[in-house]
Amino acid sequence: MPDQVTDTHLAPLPESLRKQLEKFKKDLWRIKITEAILAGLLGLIVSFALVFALDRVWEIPSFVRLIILITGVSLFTIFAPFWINRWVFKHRKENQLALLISKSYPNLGDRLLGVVELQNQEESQTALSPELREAAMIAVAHDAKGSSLDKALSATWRNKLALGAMLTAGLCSIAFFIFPSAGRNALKRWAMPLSDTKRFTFTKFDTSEIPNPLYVALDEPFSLSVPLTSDTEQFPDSAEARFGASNWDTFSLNGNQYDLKFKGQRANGNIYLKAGDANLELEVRPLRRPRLKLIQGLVSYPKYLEREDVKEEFIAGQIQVLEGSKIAIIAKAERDLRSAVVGPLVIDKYIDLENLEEAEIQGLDPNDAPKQVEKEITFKIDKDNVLPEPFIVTKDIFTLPISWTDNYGISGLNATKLNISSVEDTPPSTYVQEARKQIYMLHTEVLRFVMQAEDDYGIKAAGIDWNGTFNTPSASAPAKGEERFIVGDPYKQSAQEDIELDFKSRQIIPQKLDIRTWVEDYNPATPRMFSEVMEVFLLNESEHANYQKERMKDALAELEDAMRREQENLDENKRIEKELKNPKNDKSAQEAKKKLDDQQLKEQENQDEVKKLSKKMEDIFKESMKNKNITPKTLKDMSDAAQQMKEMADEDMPDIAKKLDDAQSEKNSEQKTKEDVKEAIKKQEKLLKKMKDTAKKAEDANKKLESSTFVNRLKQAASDEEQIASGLMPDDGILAADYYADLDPVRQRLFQALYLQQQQTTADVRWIQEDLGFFFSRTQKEIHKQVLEQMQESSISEELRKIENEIEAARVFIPMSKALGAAKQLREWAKLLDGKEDEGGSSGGGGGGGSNQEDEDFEFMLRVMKMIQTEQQLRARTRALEQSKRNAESNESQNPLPTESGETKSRQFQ
Amino acid sequence: MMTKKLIPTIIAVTAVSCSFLSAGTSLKEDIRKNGDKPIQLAPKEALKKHSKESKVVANDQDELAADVQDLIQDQTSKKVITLLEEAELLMGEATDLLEAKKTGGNTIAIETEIIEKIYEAAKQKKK
Repeated sequence: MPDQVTDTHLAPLPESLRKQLEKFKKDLWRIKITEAILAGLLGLIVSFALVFALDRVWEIPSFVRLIILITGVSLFTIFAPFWINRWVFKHRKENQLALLISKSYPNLGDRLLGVVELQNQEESQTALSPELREAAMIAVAHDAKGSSLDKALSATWRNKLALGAMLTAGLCSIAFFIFPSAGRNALKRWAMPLSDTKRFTFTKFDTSEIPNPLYVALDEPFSLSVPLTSDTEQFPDSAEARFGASNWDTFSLNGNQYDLKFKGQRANGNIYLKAGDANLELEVRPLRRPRLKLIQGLVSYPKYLEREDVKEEFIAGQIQVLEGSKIAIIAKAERDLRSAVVGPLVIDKYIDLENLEEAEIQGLDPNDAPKQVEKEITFKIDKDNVLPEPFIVTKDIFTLPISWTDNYGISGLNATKLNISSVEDTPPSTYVQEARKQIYMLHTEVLRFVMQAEDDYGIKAAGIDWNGTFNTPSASAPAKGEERFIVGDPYKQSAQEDIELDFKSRQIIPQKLDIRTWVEDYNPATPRMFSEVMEVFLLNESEHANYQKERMKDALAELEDAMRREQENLDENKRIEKELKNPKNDKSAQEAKKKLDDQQLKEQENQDEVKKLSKKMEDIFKESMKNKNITPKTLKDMSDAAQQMKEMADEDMPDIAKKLDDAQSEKNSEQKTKEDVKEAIKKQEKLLKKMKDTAKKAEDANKKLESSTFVNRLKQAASDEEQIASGLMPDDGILAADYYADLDPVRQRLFQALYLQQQQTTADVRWIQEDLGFFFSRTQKEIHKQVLEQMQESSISEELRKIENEIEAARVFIPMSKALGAAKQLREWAKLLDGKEDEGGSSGGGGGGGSNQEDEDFEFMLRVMKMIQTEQQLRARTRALEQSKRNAESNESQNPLPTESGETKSRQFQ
Repeated sequence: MMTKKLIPTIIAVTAVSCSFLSAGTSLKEDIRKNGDKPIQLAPKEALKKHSKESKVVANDQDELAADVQDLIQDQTSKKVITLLEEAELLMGEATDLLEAKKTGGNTIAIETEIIEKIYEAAKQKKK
């Protein structure tokens, strides 16, 4: 209460008036203060009520609540002070009160105002006397007493405010009483609008298990179950929900939850859910389902393979690895994973056919055998990788299902089924490039070929081996050996090597050799694999010459066929010529002309045959050159024959064909056609003559070859006998024993070898005699007859057989002297044959001095070519030596393991 | 008379029987028993063999050089002679290398050059 203003007035108001005014002031103050308080209270209660009411339907934002609170409090904090200031502080004095009264009682008010002012009037200053003043005051007091100043009080809202406040408070109290939790919550939220106090709802959604934001699969319908909490007070039968701005859908209460369903979404958005007074807003983020972007297997090969581990990718969920390998699967997803389901590992048992048959034999039901088994498999998750435990891959087929869920709770679309199967370590293979099944060559030559080796899991080594056999008994052991040429490594799947095999350096004597390449891989269970066998017939000079002779014979036969065909063509051409010259009618001339086309074709066909033949002759010539036992004269005849055949094929026959072609030309006149045909016939006749010459030359060469082979064979037989004689003599010259059984074992082995050698020579001489007989019957040459008769008369075969028996009986001197005697005789016959052949001269040669220069030149060319051949052989032998040296060095340092670099011993060709 | 025939017969039979009795094996039986032995060389042996064989090849090379020398004697064309002489020199080089057991690329290169030289000589002769 403001302090009473105690003025010391010069003329105070009458006591009654003063008291009346005092009472008026107190009443006024009391009413206005009450109004202020009630207004403040009302503001507070109403604001609270507003919050309570709004909270029932709406999640009032904190700023709104703040505004409400401020608004509510402002009646207390702003209005009340203002009201009090206006009605209390500004109505303390009597004059203020008089003014107020004057509003209701103007006269009275005015007189009161005058009287109030009279209190302080000084007599000296005015004419008013104190008695008048007092009388005026008494009169006013008397009038005031008669009026009720309460009417001068302004209209008051006190009652209304009180009523309003009481009603509102009452309502709030009722609400508090009925819904105490809501009330307390509203009170809290009203009093602390900025706090995190959640709005109380009678219906409460339990969002503890619902992630926010909620990740769902992109463009796929999704559902969401929103349960109500256990302390929910109201369970509305339905709830409404929508995604974004779509229409509201109604969902029924299902037990204690609402099962919401939404369509597939592509963009982020919010789910709005309302049930009763509860609202829920959830952010939804659609995401593509996580895929496995990479599936690999870390493959550890079986130990024997000596290979590093590798990573291999699954293709379409499948992988094949080597049987016996260990595989560790790595399945990499697009996003980090929360969980996965791996397995079980399904194993489809490999059915071994042998076991199946065995089971049937034993009367067991093969269907009882487990066909499929399942095995649990552990796994780890490492960020975005699923890592099942490694397992060994056997012959069985493995299937491993994997499903996964990422950290957002989205699972992969479908479980992936991985298939793991095995491949066998197949045996390696090897072959010879452009292999020939049979090769005939001089034993002094070097065999060249290219070997190829392949394996799926690394070549360990590859090489060649050879096994010899003698067609006839021999004192020596047949050749047998092997050599490694390729040192492999675990990663070498293919290798190629140029092989040069020098038989002479390996002391391999003439025999039949079965040569094959071999290859090994790292698998200890795989045996060595071989190529097809190449039969290499290593021939001595005599056999080689014989072989060339046989080839010459075949070539001659083919030449004769070519001659016959040419003769037929010539005859037909002559008929055509005749028809063209004297045609029966126009039609026959036309037909004759048409036949020229056939003739041309036939000529060309024959030309092709002769071309092949000339190549064959060339080859025979080249091969014969390698044989030092074939005389230059024979070689010259061969060369001439080959050269002529080449000319026929390249020049003469094409000319004839061209002429026949020209003869058919439409632009030709009849005369021209006849001339062309005539020209063609002329050329053909010349060609036939040439063919005959060539045939004769080739035949001469063959005869010389054949003949020279007898010489060589006889010389060879003589040489063999000398060797036997030399072998029979003991080193110390002393005979140790008479009987074979009593001989020293070394000597026994020697006699065995000599016996076999003698058997061979006996057979050779028998064959020489027989062949000479046939040869004479063809050549009818005197010298052949002479030698043959001498051989028959001497019974040389019988003599040689006797030597066999002597050796068998372990005698020395008798067989020795007989052998030497036989050798001498054989050499004489060889000399006889050789000398007479030389005296006979070159039967196919041109004869006379005119061809001497040509012969000399040929002789030079021959020598030079032989030198080239010899040098080529030396080079081949050098290469072969170098190759074997490298192999030996490699074997010595790393036998049998491969080199670190895994290089093959490659060869440099020049 | 019977005794005269009998004693030599007994001696002969005894002689034959002794051989059978003491022998136990004959030459033919022993031949049948002997088997093949594969030729497999240990690395050290192979290297020794290489050493021996390269000398053989060296020898053959030297012989060929002698043949070239003989051939030169019969020639009149200077160019042909020059080429053959060059070939002969190269053969000498190759021989030395082979004797030193060097069978590598260098030796093979020289041998190739020899072939070319002789071939050149042959072509020159044809002209």
